Amino acid sequence: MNKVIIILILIVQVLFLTNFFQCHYFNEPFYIHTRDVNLQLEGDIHGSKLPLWTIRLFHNKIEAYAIAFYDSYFYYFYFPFLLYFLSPAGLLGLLSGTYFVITRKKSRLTWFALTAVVIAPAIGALVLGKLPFKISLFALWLSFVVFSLYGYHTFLTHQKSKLIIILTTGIALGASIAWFLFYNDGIGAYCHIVH
Amino acid sequence: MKLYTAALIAIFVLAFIIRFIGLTQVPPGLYIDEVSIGYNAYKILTTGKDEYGAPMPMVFKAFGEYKMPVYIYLTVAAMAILGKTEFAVRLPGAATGMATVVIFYFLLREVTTFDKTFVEKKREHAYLLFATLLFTLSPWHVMFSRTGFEATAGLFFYILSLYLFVRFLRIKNPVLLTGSLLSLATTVYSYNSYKAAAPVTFLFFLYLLLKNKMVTKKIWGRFIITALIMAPMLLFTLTASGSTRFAQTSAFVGYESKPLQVKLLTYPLIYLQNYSSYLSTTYLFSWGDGWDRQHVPGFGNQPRWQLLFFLYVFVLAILYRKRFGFAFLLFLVFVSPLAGGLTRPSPHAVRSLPLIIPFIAFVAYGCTQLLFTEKRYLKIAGIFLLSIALYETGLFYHYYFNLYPHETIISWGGGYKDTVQALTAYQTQNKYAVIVSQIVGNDYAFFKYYNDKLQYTEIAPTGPWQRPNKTLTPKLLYVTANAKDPRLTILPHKLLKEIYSPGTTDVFVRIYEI
Repeated sequence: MNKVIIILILIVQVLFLTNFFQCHYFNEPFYIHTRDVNLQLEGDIHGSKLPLWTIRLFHNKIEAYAIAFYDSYFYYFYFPFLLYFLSPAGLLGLLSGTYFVITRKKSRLTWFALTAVVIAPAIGALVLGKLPFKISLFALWLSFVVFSLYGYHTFLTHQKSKLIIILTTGIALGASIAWFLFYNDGIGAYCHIVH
Repeated sequence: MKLYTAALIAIFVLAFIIRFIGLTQVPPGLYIDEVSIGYNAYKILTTGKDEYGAPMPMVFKAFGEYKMPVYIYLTVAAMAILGKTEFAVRLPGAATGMATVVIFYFLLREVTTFDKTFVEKKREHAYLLFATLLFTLSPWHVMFSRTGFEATAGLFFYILSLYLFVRFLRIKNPVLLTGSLLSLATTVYSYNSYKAAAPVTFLFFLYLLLKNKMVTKKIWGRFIITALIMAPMLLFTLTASGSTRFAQTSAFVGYESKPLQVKLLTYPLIYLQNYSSYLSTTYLFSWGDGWDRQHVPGFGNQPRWQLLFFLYVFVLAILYRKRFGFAFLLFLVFVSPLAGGLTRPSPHAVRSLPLIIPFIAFVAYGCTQLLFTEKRYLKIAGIFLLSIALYETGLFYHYYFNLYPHETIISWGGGYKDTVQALTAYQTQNKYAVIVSQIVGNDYAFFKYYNDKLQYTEIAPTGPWQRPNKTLTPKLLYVTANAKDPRLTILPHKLLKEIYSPGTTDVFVRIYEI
């Protein structure tokens, strides 16, 4: 039964991926914009009478780029985005994966899945704007889906109660299908849609 | 022990300084809700009635909504002592914010005493100091404590209720339970979000007492009385007037006309999306909710360095959810965004303010674990994180006190005070009639607060010009925020004064004689 559930969740996630085919590129928060960071830096200190040491300490490029990278990186883990990107079932898998990664011994599969989901957004934050959209979309999706399926698989193997499995999966898949059919018009918040 | 007490007192002093220093300068001016609160408090103090003439109301009618009474009555008390000043409007926020820090310490101390498995005895002092310090410095809490937000007073009564309840569990003195339930009931009269959080917390308390076999007839009586106290406000919310605010901010706007089956399917999904946004890293650590009155632009609700600690301890809490301490904090995590999920925009920092309690309790737990670790690489990581934490704290307070006031002056009603003062002077000296082309919207709240005797007529910012009938005097003052106001092309005019947004070279409004 577990395999069937995993395949069903994968199918749902493929369906959700197809929604992003109408997009042209990811929106700005997903990657660092050198020009914006520089403008922000200049804007903050322009016309201000701050002491020089303050400017050097708090308005330098290292700080500005570190923050820009952090913000872009974690934007990939913004739950409302992941609901559109992976589906509610996929997000549940991702959360379950995070829980098991922290609380259980890590196998090779765990390390593989974890590495993918940790590194992909980092690459995305740095170079997403420079890569062809469909390649970056698929690479991102794959890395998240691998971890999400790992999480769901681990949940299924650790959960002894069949009732909980059936209820959880039923609700997650039901919510995903309902989302796909009736509540799928907010994708424009995350990518530029081609009209 | 002496060192511990000294450190604790030092933290409380720091909390006081951060919440009170330059209270009227940062944020730079009263914003619209604050002037509305201030004006109603002033009217209650001087006439015993609100701005609409209602005597000592339970809810205050404001522009397009109804305000909860607790903060306004606290402001009445502040104004009775300090007069009608900006400081008096913000004092209840700062004072309840300061008290919240103290109660937060006592709450966690009570939790650690009640649940010995939550934090090891030898780590308890370090944990409590970390937690109190992080709460003291929390950008989220500091921002709200320094403003006349009703939510800050609500948080105080909520945390007081939690503290008294946990203490009751341990000491079993019924007076504590009475205090706890009364505080909980007060939250419902403090801020709208608690209309969802308080009833759920009420049931949670009841569940804990039933589980611990502590429910007697007298305790049932206390719960029933509390329910009766909360009922009027909860019932008011169900009326057309009471639900005005919800109608304006409902997350389900746009879906009302859909078929019932689509509503049944989509409403839970909208709620899921909104609810999940409150627990997202982007909201908590990166960009906040995007409203510059509720976070410093470029900063999240909490410092970025806290993310890993929060995530790690959150997972630990789920793993050890059977321990009282973790279960209690997890409950607070899940209950805090309950109301916010129903509204838009989501996430919203005011509506999820109670989230700060479990959040900081978790981060402090992680910090304590790291402090006592014996693993060398974790010690090095700890030193690295401490450096980042210190830097980020400095960065936030540098932005908050030095740059934020200038960058957000318009959001804080910058310019209204000077405008009203200038108009008052003109009207007194020359008997002008004043016509104000709508500046931002709901301008009247500012005009009333700064001078409710000022005679003026407000007109739409666009549309044909018509001399208002009421203004019989030949001398007219025309106030506009639009530098290229089309009316000025057809009206002969003379520029009398430009009012600047305080501390900037940006013109807020221009006053013309026409």
